Amino acid sequence: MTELSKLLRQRLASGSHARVRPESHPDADTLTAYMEQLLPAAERNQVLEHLAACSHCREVAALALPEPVASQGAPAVAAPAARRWGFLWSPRFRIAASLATVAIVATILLEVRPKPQEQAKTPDSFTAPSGGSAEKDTRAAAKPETAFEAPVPPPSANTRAGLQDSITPGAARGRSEVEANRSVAIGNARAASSHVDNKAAPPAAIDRDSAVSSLSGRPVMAGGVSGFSRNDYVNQGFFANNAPADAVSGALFVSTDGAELPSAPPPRTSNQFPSPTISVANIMGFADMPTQNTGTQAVRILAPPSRSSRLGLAYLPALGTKAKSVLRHSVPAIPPGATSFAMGGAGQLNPNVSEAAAAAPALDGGVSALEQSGAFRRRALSDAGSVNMKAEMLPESALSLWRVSGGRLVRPGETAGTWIEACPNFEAVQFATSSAHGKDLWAGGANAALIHSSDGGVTCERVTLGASAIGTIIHIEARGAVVQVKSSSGQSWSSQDGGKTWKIDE
Amino acid sequence: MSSGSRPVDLASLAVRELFVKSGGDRYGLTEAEFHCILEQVAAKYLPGAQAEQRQRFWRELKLEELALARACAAGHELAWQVFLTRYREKLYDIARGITKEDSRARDLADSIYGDLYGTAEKDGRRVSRLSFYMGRGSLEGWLRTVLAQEFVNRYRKQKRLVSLEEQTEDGVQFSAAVPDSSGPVDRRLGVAVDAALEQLAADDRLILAAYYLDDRTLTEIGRLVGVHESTISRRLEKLLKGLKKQVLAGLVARGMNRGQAEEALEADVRYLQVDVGRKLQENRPAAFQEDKGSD
Repeated sequence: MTELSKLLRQRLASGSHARVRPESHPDADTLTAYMEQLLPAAERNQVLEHLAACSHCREVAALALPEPVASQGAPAVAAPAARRWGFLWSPRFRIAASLATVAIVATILLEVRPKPQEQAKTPDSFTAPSGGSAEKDTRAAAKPETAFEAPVPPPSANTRAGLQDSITPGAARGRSEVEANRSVAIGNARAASSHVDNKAAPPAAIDRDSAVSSLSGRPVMAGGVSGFSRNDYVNQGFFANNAPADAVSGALFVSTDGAELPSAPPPRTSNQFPSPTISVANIMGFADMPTQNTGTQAVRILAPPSRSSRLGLAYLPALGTKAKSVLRHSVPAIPPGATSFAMGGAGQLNPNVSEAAAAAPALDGGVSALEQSGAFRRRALSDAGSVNMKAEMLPESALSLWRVSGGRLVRPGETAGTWIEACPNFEAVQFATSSAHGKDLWAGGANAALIHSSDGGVTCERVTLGASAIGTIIHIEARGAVVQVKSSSGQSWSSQDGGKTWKIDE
Repeated sequence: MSSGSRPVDLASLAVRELFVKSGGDRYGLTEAEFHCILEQVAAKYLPGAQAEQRQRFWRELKLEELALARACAAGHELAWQVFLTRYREKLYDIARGITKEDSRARDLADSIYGDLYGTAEKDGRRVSRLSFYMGRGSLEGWLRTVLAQEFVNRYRKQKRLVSLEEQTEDGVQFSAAVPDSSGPVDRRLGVAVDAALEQLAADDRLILAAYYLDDRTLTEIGRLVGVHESTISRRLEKLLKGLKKQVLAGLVARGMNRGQAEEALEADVRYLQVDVGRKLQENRPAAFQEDKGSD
């Protein structure tokens, strides 16, 4: 076809095919009438014949054609396609697509990763009350907006049985927010509320929804189920079966002036909780309940329902492999010796520590009030994608709750508001960081000072990294005999033998 | 205004109706003068036509614009005011659209203004170019065409005088040598192609010429022919297929077998004969002069 094109170009240029000789050109009127399509057919054909043979008139006609106007000019070649798919580029469609995308992304984020936001919020809004203080005392706390009392239900009935190992601070915070700030209603659902938190129910949702529910006059169901937006978190049968006797009868409403509010029970430590006696039948409504042996006792882990039941199937293609990994995610294994863990997130309760935190010293590094209390500990997860299902297990001892405050190494005392300083014989050391596992304590500070204690900070010894070690120890990672420290000068030292010998990492 | 022989066989009512429709009395035209103008138009485009045909033809004219143009040609002041109000800026815009450059556009438009006003004299009377307007198309379209004709004539003349240095500066390559016409290709190929082209419709040949000779875009060709450019694209493809079949059939009819015909069609076109003289003659810029003279 290429050769034919060239052939045509040459033969057309020769003009030997022309039926009319181009010597007699149409006048301006005729050309104008032709271009305006006003000529009769016969005359139009004559002009066409002439134009086919006369390049001069073709040029004149092409120049004399009016400029194409979008509204009246000939549409482009792609016009049919543009009309067909043009709506894709219309502003209305763009806005709709943007909104739909935002809605999908927001839904996915809320569904796939709901816990980090809520759990990150937990330390800021939770401050354990001092022991034995009533609700009025709680209101008078230093931060009335965020300091909530955490009423602990009486250790009666088997409602809370078996929950001591899995209770989270969000439970207390959830109710205390309603009681202290709103002062509107208290559902007699303490045990169930704790249970709900064990189900990794969003604390914020609990607080807000409970408050709104109470304000709107909706009865609070036994077990504290009412007001929860996520009913799939709640095992209704469990609440019915395990609610305390005074709760089964129904909701308990109080006046808004707090006159009928029950006095808050004294704070408890985990040692005061009875041994777990919860029956399996009572928690059968929960999904994912692997049983793991932790030393001498079996711990049943209560997990939220499977993600797949909460996620719409439509999300799965959009999430791709991430969704699959999330869906496959299982409850982490419990290391031997661990008896407490937090469900669904990077926060966990230390049951051995009093929830009182009002007197907790300020911590270096902007640690939240909850963490200051020592009752709650937040650790970074290695995999940010595995949001709430990857709870880290802590040893039972509170000795692991060392914190650095004002250059000193402290941990919460056994009584509320007391703090114990570690390594008092190292007053000259300005501590910057610490790492504790059980009684094994590592702490570092300025001038490459590294302190190690194997008895929970009672006796400490200084560890020498090396002659070239400089800067402030800013990070310590200790896992058994393997210890790695990093300094502010960028050095990284590691030891494979519990700190006896060190080598600098390249 | 030259009226020529006064018509006597027209229906005066029809003429009066057309005259009223034209609004020529605003510009000082009389019904008789307007009648003469109509007869002049009919004599040019419908020589020897019956009265009824002429009247039908007149009704299709742009009567109001015809009256305005002729009144301007006669030097009517109000007509010129109306003309300048309507077309002065348009004329510059049209010139700018043609030349794509402001100074040349103004130069072109000014020269046309001179012609429209009538700088030349004939028999002691000023001759305005507007007196050649016949009202077959719109006055604006006519002005557009006149400007395009003037532009093509003027700048084609100037282009011939461009020096080699200017061409080099403009990036114009030296023209290739005229190919030797005594090539090895069978002359039957050119004849077959010409025969196939002759059998095409006029608009098809116009499409081919505009596409292959003028390198017009499909959009330009579509506007030139008055169809959608997608139609042009389809028609071009269809035309090429049909032409190939026609040429092959023509070559077979002229004594070639099928294989020879296909081989000849794929031959290097440099060896085809080209009538250069006729091509040059075709490109002779005579339209405007002829137009002026004939009008």
